[in-house]
Amino acid sequence: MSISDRVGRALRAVRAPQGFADCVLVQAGLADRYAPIESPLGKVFAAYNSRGISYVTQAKNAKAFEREFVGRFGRKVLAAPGVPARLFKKFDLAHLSSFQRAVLLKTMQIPPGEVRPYGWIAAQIGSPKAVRAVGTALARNPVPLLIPCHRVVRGDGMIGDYALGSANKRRILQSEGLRFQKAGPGWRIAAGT
Amino acid sequence: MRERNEQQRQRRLAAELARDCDATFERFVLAYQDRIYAFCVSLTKDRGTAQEIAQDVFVRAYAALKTYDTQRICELSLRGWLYQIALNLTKNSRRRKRFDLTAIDDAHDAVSDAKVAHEVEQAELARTIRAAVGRLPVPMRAAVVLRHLNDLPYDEIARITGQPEGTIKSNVHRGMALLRKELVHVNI
Repeated sequence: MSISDRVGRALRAVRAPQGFADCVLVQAGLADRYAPIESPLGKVFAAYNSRGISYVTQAKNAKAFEREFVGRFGRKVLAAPGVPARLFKKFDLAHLSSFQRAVLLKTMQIPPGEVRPYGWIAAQIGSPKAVRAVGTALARNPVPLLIPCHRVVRGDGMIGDYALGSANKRRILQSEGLRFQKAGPGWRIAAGT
Repeated sequence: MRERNEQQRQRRLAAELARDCDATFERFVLAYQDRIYAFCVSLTKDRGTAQEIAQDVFVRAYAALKTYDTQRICELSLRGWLYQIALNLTKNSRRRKRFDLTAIDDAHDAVSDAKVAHEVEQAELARTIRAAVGRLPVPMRAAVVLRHLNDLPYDEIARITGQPEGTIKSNVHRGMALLRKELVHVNI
């Protein structure tokens, strides 16, 4: 074998490290990473990228979460050991409309243990007539629990819908100190809370 | 023959990138990651820095592809383009940081897990050769690596490095002569 062949073979023996392509995809914004996180609902899965947390939901297992993520966002999601702590207050809302972003950003201002009606959000973002649209934007919140759309309830005090189900909405609000009373088929915020 | 196949593969990949960049990009990275990483390791002699630069090569390539129109992507010589980005990033990085010029950290190459004595010997020889390549002056090293990592033609190396073809030929020949001299004791 000639020295040229030897040199070529020695250089070609170097391989990119395991997971190289995955890192590139994440850096290019073509894939997110995800890990389980603890929440008032127990373990949920959170996906993230360089802009922040991109998606939070309950899923039966990691594979089910991956399927759901790909179905919703159309890009890969790769398992990670954990979600970096610095990202917990940053969110990737880039794919949302400016109206949806405004709704979610306003929702973030509601402190734990308090609730606001849909109409309050609508008025606060300068679209007082868009109460139904506020409800739709909250139902599509990609990061429930972290952006607290569970703190937005109906104007009559009824608990209202929730991206992760109204039973879970009640559980989360109870974990934040609110009390409820049965009202027909649903639940209403108890007076004095 | 091998070069013609490579050219065809590049054209096909470029056409697919032009058609659907996002869906094709992972395949593009997987096709070139080993060569680009190996090139960066040779130039920086530090695997951590090489990994950073090599990843950045692809991230920048993606950002550029998103701004190019279909025709421009189809006309790209992907391999040469990636080497060019890698070379520029390495130069910039070298300006910021002085690389360790003593040895390449060769702990994890493709044959490092070899158990058979012959393979261990071959892996050791490959390390010795890469270390010798790493001691070549940078312009010579880049030319030798581009020539022998991928059997690139001289005119393509000239385009990548922005140097005249004659200079490239001279750098490759002088580099190989130095390697021969340095590796005489390992009985190649």
